[in-house]
Parts: sequence; C-alpha cells; structure tokens
Amino acid sequence: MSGDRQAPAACDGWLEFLSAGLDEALVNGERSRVDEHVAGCRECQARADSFRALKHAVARLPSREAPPGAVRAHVESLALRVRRSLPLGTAVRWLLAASLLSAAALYVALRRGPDGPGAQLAQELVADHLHSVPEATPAEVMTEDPAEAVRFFSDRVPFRPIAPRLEGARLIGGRLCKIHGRRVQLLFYRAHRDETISLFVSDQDLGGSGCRESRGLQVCSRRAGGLALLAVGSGPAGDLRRLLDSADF
Amino acid sequence: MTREEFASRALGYLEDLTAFARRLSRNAADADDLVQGTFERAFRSWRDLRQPGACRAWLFQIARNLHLNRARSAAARPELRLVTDEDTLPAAAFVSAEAVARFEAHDLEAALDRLHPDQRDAVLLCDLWGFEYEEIASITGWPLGTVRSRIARGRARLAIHLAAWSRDAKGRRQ
Repeated sequence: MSGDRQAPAACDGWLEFLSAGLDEALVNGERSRVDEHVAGCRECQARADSFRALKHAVARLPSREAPPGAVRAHVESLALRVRRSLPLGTAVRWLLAASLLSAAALYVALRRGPDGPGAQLAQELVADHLHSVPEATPAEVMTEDPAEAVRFFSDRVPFRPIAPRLEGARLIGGRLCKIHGRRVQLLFYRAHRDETISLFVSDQDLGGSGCRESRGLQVCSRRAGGLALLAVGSGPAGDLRRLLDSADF
Repeated sequence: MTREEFASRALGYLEDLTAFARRLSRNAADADDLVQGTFERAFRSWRDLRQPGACRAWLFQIARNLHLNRARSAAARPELRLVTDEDTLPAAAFVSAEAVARFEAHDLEAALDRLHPDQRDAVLLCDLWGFEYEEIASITGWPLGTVRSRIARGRARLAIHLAAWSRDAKGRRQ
C-alpha cells in the first residue's frame, strides 16, 4: 500500500500517547504536547490515523452474541430465583422506598434543565452507529430523496416519520432501529470530509438538548416537533450540535 | 440497588457476556460454562456491587477471573503454546487508514488472534466493548499505566500485522 510508511524509531515513544489521545485518556499537559508533535510529524499523523481506523474497525465487530437457549434459560432461572428470594415484608418496604425514589427522580427530571443523552443511551447509539452505517452494513433504503425516505419509514415506525434536511450534509439512506424496544428511524447523512452521521429519530423522551462523548464519538440530542433527534458522528461536538440545530423538516 | 434491579440489569448484559466468553474460551462449550458460571457467581454476590453503573464491568471482571482460574487449573496438563513477545515492537510500517477500510472482519479477527492475549484483551475491552481505562483496570486488575501501554502496543501490532498482509496481497496481485 502506498500509504504504509515506516516511522523513525524516535517516534515509537509517541505511540502510547497517540493511542491514549484517541481514547481521550491523556492527562495534564500530555494533550498539548502530543498535538504539537503530531502537527509537525507526518509519520505520527499517519500512525494516529491508522490507530483511529483500527479502533473503528474493531468497534464494528460483533460485541453481542445470542447464547444458546439452554444457557439463556439457566441464567433467567437464576435471575428468577434471586427475584423470588425476597421476603414479602422487605419487598413491600422496598417497593414503597422505590416508589418514593422514583417520584423524587421524576421530580428532579422534570425540574432540571436541558441535558444530553444518558451515558448508557449514548453508548448504545454509538454501537448502533458503528454497526449500522452503510460502510458496515447495507442500509435498508439508499436514497438522497427525503420524500422517499419518509415513504420507507411510513407504517414502520409508531409516529409520523421525517427526513430532515441538515445544513452541510446530504441524506444517503436509512434503516429501522430500536431504542428501548421501540421502533425508531435511523437516517444516514454524508457530511464534509466523507464523515457519516447517524440521525436517530424517536417519539420517546430520551433527554434534553446536549452532547456526550462515547467511545471517541459524539452523541448530540435535541427535541423538535414532539420528536427526539439524536445525532452520532466522529467530528467535534460543536459541529455536530450545529448540524443537529439546522435540522429542518 | 435492589435484587430486582440487579437481576434486570445483569440480564441485559447476557449477550455482551456471551460474546466476551466466546472470545476468552475459543470453544463454545467452555464459553457456555463460563457464561453460566459468571451469572451464578454474580447472583450469589450481587451485594458486592457498589455502583449500579459498574454492573457491566463487574460481570466482565467475574468472567475474566473465572476464565483465568480455569486456565490455570488446566495448565497442569502439558500444552504446546505459541509464545509471543509482548514488549518488543518490530521496526515495521503501520497499515494506512485507507487500507484498514479494505480489510474484511475475518482478516481483523485473524490479526487480533495473533496478538499477545493481554494486548488482545486490552484492545477488545477498549474498542469493542467501549470500556474506559479505569474500567479495564478494574476488570483485569492491571495498573492504569499497564492498561494504557497494552492498548497502545496491541494497536501497534495490529497495524503492523495488517500492513504486512496488505503488502502480501498487493504482491500477489502484481
């Protein structure tokens, strides 16, 4: 491959920093030192790109596998036993405590200001993004036409589907997806520098406006027209936020 | 966290644990035993889990420890094993980002298989299951610096293996 280059041995000392930088795991002044070095070293820039591509390629391998029926049944029976082993008096007390806690949590959720998607949701969306982008798995509908995309999702999702226009990105397709067991739209857009953006559209309450980083990618969310829009991309959070804010439908 | 919450939460990770166990065991029957053993232990000692958010990492930790204990017991039997040097990084080119996109999943799996097991675990826990370095340290029992170093060396070796295959494939086409 013409792109395969051998870096000078002196650059080997930077490998750990390039790798940790990719995972947002640099400490103190390491980030600025790494950025400064990489800016002037084409070999380390190529190595950082190689690490990034490998990270994304590994993330697309299957991370979940269905167990055989007998294993699932055994594990579920263990869970059932744990659930049943709760004494009734304790169960009632815990139920009351849980109800109070839930009410308190609901109150806090209703009172608090806008925030981004939760950590677990962000992680799941990133996993879906990495496994579902057309580069990894063919989309169910490949189209640049928003009307055609909307037709595809009609009767497939439990709400009136949309295919928003995003400023600086073009629609390339979509597929059905599920969040918390409920069907949602997953639309794909091609942004500048060939970056693929996943846009999840759901009628569920999935948090307010904001962004969260997960596995080196950004997940931004906002609500519009009674729907939750959640975008996943590899660019800076500010760019993704602006893209999401430009959603027009 | 209540028992009920723990049970629901833990069951939600059954597929993750199955995939992890299959990678650790390399044998379907052993992997099934490992999954069941992990959940048996987890349901016995769920009160040890202090933070509900750490449930997934905690289950991975149990699975890995169980696997290592079983592997140590089995090591009493003589075994021929390919030993790879974990520390020395050969002076070689890395695969380019463009070339990575051209590899199939099975090529990547084969390259992962060639890594030292600790480096492979480090890379997979980080990149496949998305754990943070602190979580990987708790799963494996390694210091944070070791986690960071093993992930970097694992990625570097992957990049070198794939670069070599990429050159070979190009040579065959010419």
